[in-house]
Parts: sequence; C-alpha cells; structure tokens
Amino acid sequence: MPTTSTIEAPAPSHAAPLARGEAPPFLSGDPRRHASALLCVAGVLLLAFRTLALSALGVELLAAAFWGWARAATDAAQQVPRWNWLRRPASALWLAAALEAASATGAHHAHQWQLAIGACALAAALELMGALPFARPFPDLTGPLVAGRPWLPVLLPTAGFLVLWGHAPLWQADPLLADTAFALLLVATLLAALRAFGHARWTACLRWLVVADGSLAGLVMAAGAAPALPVLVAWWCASGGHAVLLAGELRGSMPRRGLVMTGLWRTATWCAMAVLAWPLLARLALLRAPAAFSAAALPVLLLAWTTVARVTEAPERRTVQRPSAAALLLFAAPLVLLPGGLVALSAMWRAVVSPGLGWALAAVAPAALGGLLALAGRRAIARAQAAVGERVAWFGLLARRAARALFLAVVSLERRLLAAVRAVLLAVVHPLRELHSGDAQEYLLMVAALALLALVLPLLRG
Amino acid sequence: MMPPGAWGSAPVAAAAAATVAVLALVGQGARGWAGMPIRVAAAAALAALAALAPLRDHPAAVPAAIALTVAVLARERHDPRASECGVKLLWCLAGVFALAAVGWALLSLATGTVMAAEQWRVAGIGLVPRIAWSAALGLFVLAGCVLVGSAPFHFWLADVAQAGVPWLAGPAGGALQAGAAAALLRVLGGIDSAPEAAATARTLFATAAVAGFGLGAITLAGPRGPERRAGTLAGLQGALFLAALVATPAGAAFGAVAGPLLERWAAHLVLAGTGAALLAPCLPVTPRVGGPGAPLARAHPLAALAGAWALGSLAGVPGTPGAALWLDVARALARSGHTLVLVSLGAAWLVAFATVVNTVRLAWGSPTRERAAPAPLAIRIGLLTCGVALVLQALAWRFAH
Repeated sequence: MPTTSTIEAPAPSHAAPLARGEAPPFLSGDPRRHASALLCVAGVLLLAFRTLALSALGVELLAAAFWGWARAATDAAQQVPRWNWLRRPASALWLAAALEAASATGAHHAHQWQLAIGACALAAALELMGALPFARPFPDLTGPLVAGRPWLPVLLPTAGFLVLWGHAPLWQADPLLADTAFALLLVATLLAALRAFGHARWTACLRWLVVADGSLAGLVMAAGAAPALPVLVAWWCASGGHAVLLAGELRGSMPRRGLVMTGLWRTATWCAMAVLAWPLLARLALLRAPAAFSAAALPVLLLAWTTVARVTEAPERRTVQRPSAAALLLFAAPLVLLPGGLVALSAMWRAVVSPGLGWALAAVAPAALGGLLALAGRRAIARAQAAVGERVAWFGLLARRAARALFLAVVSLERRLLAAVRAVLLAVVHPLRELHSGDAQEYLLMVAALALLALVLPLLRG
Repeated sequence: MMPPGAWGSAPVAAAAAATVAVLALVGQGARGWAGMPIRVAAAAALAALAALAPLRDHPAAVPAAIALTVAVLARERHDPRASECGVKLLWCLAGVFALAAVGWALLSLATGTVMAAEQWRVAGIGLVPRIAWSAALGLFVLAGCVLVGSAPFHFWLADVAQAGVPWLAGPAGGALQAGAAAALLRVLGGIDSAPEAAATARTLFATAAVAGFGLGAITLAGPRGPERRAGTLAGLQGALFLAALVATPAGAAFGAVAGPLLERWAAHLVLAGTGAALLAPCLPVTPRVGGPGAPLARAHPLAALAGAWALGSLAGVPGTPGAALWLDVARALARSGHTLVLVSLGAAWLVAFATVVNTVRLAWGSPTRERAAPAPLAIRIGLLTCGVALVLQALAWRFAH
C-alpha cells in the first residue's frame, strides 16, 4: 500500500554546513536519537551476514531506528506513518527465516519451499530498493532525523542491495524468481533514472541516483552477467560515490568547490556508473535481445547524462579554502573510487569481453554517449551564442519536465491500482472482522447450528 | 469431552457450587486489598488447573475452570463488564460442554464402554454404526474448537480479557484452554484403531486450524481495543494446538506431536496470557500517531517492556519462548506435508507479529515532558513476574533442547 502522503518533499532546511564547534549530526540532540543511531549501525552491520535470521534482525533494527527517530521528531505525526512500511521487508525476511527453519528438518516439496524462501528474501530486498510499487517514491522524502534528513533515505536502497546480494543464491537459482527480479528491477531502474533526470533539486536527484545504482547492480545479478564479488565492488563504487557526494553536498556543496574537485567527482561517478552498467549491456547485446538492451540502455544513458551534467562547479566565495578533514576526505574519495572501478572492471573483463570485443564496445556506448552529450550540452550553453545556449537549455528543461511527468503518472497509476486492490480486500474481509464482537446469543446459535450439522451430516451420508 | 462419571461426581459439583457461593457472598462489593486473598486463591487455583491439565487430565478440570471463572466474574458486581462476561461464559461454554457430553454419551451408548481407547477400537472393527461415531466426533471437534478458543469461537477469550479483571484473564484462559486441549487428547486417544475415524478427525482439525488462523488473523488486524487484541492472540494459541493435532507424521499415533507439546504450551499460555492481559488495560484504546505514549510505558518502562515481552511471546515474536512453540508446530506441519495449514499458520504469525510491534510502538508513542500517573503496584509486580518467568522458561527450554 502507498505509505507516503506526498511525492514532492519540502525543501531541505538542514543543508547548511555545520558551524565550527557544532556536534556532528548523529551525536547532537536527544540521547534517544543516539540509541536509534546505534540500532541503525547495528542493523546495517548485521546485513553483512548472509544468514536470513540475521538479515531479518538487521532490517528490523533499521526499521526500529527509523521509528525511533520519527517518534522523537517534531513532526512525529507525519514521520511515524511515513516510515512504517519498513516493517514490511523485515516481515518478509522473518518469514523467509521461519520457512528456512521449518523446512530444515525435512519437508515435503523441497523445491516449493526453496521458491518461497527465495521469493520472501527477494521481495524484502526489492521493496527496500524501491523496486516494488508499495513505497516506491520514498527517496523523494527526507529522513526522520532532523540532522540527517536529506541523507538518511540513502541507507534503504543500500540495505536492500546488501540483502539482494547476500541472499542471491536463494533467488538466482530459480529462473522464475530471477526473471521476475529482472523485470521489476528494469522498471525500477528506468523510473529511478527518469526521476533523477527530472528532479529539480540536486540532493533528491542524488538519492534517486543511489536507488538507480542499486537497481542496476541488481539487474547485473539477475541477468547473471558478472560474478558476485566484482558486482559488489562496482556497486560500492557507484552507490558509495553518490552517497558521499550527497553527504558532501549537504556540507556546503564541498565536492563542487574548485575545478579539480568537480572534475574528479564527475569522472569518478561517471566511470563507476559505466563500469556497473557495462556487463549488463554486454550480456543483453550478446543475447541479441534488442528490446531488453534498449530498455536497459535508456536509463544508463539518462543516468550518465545526469551524473555528468549535474556535477557543476559551485561558485566559490573564498579565495583560499579552509583546510578540514572533510575536504581532504572528499578529495581522496574519488581517488579511491576510480581504482575501485578499475578493480571491478578487471575482475569482470573475462566475463564480459570473452564473448566478443564488439559486444563489449557496444555495451559501453550508452554510458559514454550520455556523458558526452551532457558535456557537449554544457559546453554549448557556456560557449556558444546566446540563442543556441537558450535553445539547449530550453530543450533540457522540456526533457526534464517530460521525465518528471512520466514518473508521476506511473506512480499515480500504481497507487490507484493498489488502492483498488486494497478496497476490494477490505470489502471482503470487513464482515469477517465482526466475528470478533458478536453477541453471546449469536455465538450460541452458531454453535448450535454447527452441532446440528455435525449430527445431521452423518445421517445424510448414510 | 467428559465421561458420564464426572457428571455424577458429587465432590466436584459440590466444590464448584461452594466456590461460586463463597466467592459471590464473601466478595460482594469488596475491592482493593479487601478481596485480595480470594483473588490470589482463585488465580492460583486456575493456574494450577492449567499447569496440572497436561500432567494429570481429569474430566472435571474444564467444568471446574468454567465454574471458578464465572464465580470470580460474578463476584465483581461493581463492574457490569465482568457480570456480562460471566453470563456470556456460562451461556456459551457450559452449552458447548453439554454438547460434548452428548457426543460422549452417544459414543458410550453405541460402544458400550466409557474408555476412549476401547470406544475407538470397537468403532474400528465396525461394531458401531458410522453415524454414531461420526456424529460424536463432530461434536468433540466443535466443542474442542470453542473451548481452546480457536477462531471463529475466540470471542470468549477477548471478553474475559476485557471484563475489567485483568489478573483473571491469563489463568482463566490458560486453565480452560489447557483443560480442553488435554480433554481432546483424552477422548481421541486410541482413535488410530479406527482409521476412517482418524482420517476424518485429521480433516476436521485441519479445517478448524485453517479457519482458526485465517479468521484470527483477520480479526486481529482490525482496529480493536488492546484487551481484545490480547484475547485474540490467545485464541491463535488455540488454533496452534489444533494445528499440532493435525501435524502427526505418517505412521505415528494421533496426537504424537500435540501430546508432548501440551505441557510447554499450557505453561506458556498461562504466563504469556497473564502478562498480556495485565498489559492490555494499560495501553491506549485509541492511540494517536505521534502522540504521547501510554502512562505505563512512560512511568515504568521496565514493567511495560516485560508486558510487551509477554504479548510478543503470545504472538511468537522471534526470541521469545512462544516463538519456539510456533516453530515446533510449523516444523511438524512441514514434515507431515500439511501445506495449507502451514500457510495459514505463517500468515497468522506474520499478522500477530506485526500487530504486536505496532501495539508496542503506539504504547511507547512520542517522547513528552508530561509526567505520567504511576501504574498500580500490583500490575507492575505482575508484569515483571511474568516477564522474568518467560525469560526463565525460554532459558529452560533452550537448555532442555
């Protein structure tokens, strides 16, 4: 069911950099928030284990952390229901863990049990990654903790991918689950790319880019295009890059200060995204599936365009930047991401290139084209005549509006469909709920009727 | 459910009548500490009935539990909810008990014996018309479903929880449910001698378990008061026992899973049911999302946590002793291949789990600077006792395992 009331989030009020001497976001304020932060850290750490029960506990702790922050927020009435959906993936994982425990001592229809366990784990992961229609627009919304509001939702697709990756053997082995995951993730990637492309605010756009990175990595796994570990490294570079970029953006747009820093970040995120998408497109090209290739290439092109075009140099007011640990970290991060991408690339090289160099080159094209188009457009706006620049800018605005309208239309349609299903279910279930509060006389009559049936039925059967 | 001998048991009838009379007269209008010894005695007697039911089943256990519960409710004259609940229980449970007795009489007349094992042996060799044993079996199953509180016959557990006598709900529910479960095992003991009857019983119990889980989950998910939610969770425990009856592996005797489970199930039911029933009146009836939490959670978080632990154990929240029971039954169902019952069990478990988490979240609410009124000491002691006992129970089961 849709759990969010609005798709558009209010403007972030905490994007300003911290003042000197101010405590970091997770350490300031109410001690109850510290407990939630601890739960959150513990939850994410537990997701590193590949045991279903520990993953369930991890997601449950994550949900508890979000609830803890939401209940302590000044707008608790809005925040608590907004993040209630996090219990759904936790429940799915608990169910998977219970099914695994129940079937461990020998069960009939072992294949069906494995299918059910895989489906539960997959559903949990997909929901956290925004690939299911129930809570798809969550990256549009800011998180429940005031100090980390714009950044916190990034944790959810990250947790989702960790669940998807950690329990891949449960769902990858079954063709039905793998195909379903591929279809859902393809739609999710396309929608995330459209939303990131069409969003006006860079912070929200970055959250959608993180969602798209997770979906793209999930697609690589669903297609079986590359070994698991290189995919994890490639995803870490792409998603981690965008997450750090968002964190830096919230500290006064630090990654966009100076030409070198901007160029480094633009290159690192572009390359990481291209490396992540490369094995998927190569596999689809090799399979000669033009529809699937086009459907995957379009979001890759949009994502590359968004990554390159939106990382623009921010105006610097200071002549000399104040040295800080954060600035050093933000300078070092792309220098780590670039070699990380190369490591993933080298690990995937054999899987991608061995079928044929032509396919491998074709697979690079969408990411390269998206980035180059973005660079060309930006250069046109900056250097060409005013009329040409205006035309390019107008075209870009039109394209962004179209992408935004398409995303909103799809989400709205999904919500209507879910609301209709929910209404039908409630209509069916509502009379049964009244069984709870009947009169004693009515119950006695029902018991008497059933008793009569128990006496008469054997007579009728002879 | 009850052999004819029990009906004529003068000491039991006299004891039940005396209990009703003494409690009704002595406790008239007595509240607070004045009636405490009688309350403690009644609760102890009911808890003892629940605890002893699996160890030494007696035909008079269920009627004694009904009589004691109704007597205690009748004694609380100042509260119309208690009186109403007492009348309801008398109407429904005593009526159902009469139906079971009719079934027993029918089978005894047809077979010429009052021993359950002999009755089914006689039925197995075809000396009894099918109509006699199938009618008796139908009545047994019906009475069993009502008395273990499985949905759609779970209203009485919720009513007892909502009767305004929170300390009574756990022991009374436990005594009645455990007594009924033990009686079911007794009257169906040896049913494997009549294979057709055993197959019919399994089908009937499977249907009852699916209905119990399904309808229980549906009513639990509805927006009801916390007392009714606690009662419905206890009702799911009834469905759990019915599922355990179904989950007999091929070649094993009827009740091969439910029999050994009964002792743990009954002990857990009393503890968790009491904790949940003590917690329920302290929870907000119409909580506001984002509003302040329940006074108990604000003033005594430890006691509230103990109550939440009991409520969670009733729902089978992972880590609680109740979860071990749910998992044991699920494993047995998986081994015996009862997929439909298992699916309904899984659905009910998920709904119960979600309901408990939601209830606990609403109970804690949002932080506020308002001072909360302290909860009665008796409630706090009761909650902490139940919580500690459940932890010890979980540890004991783990070590025994």
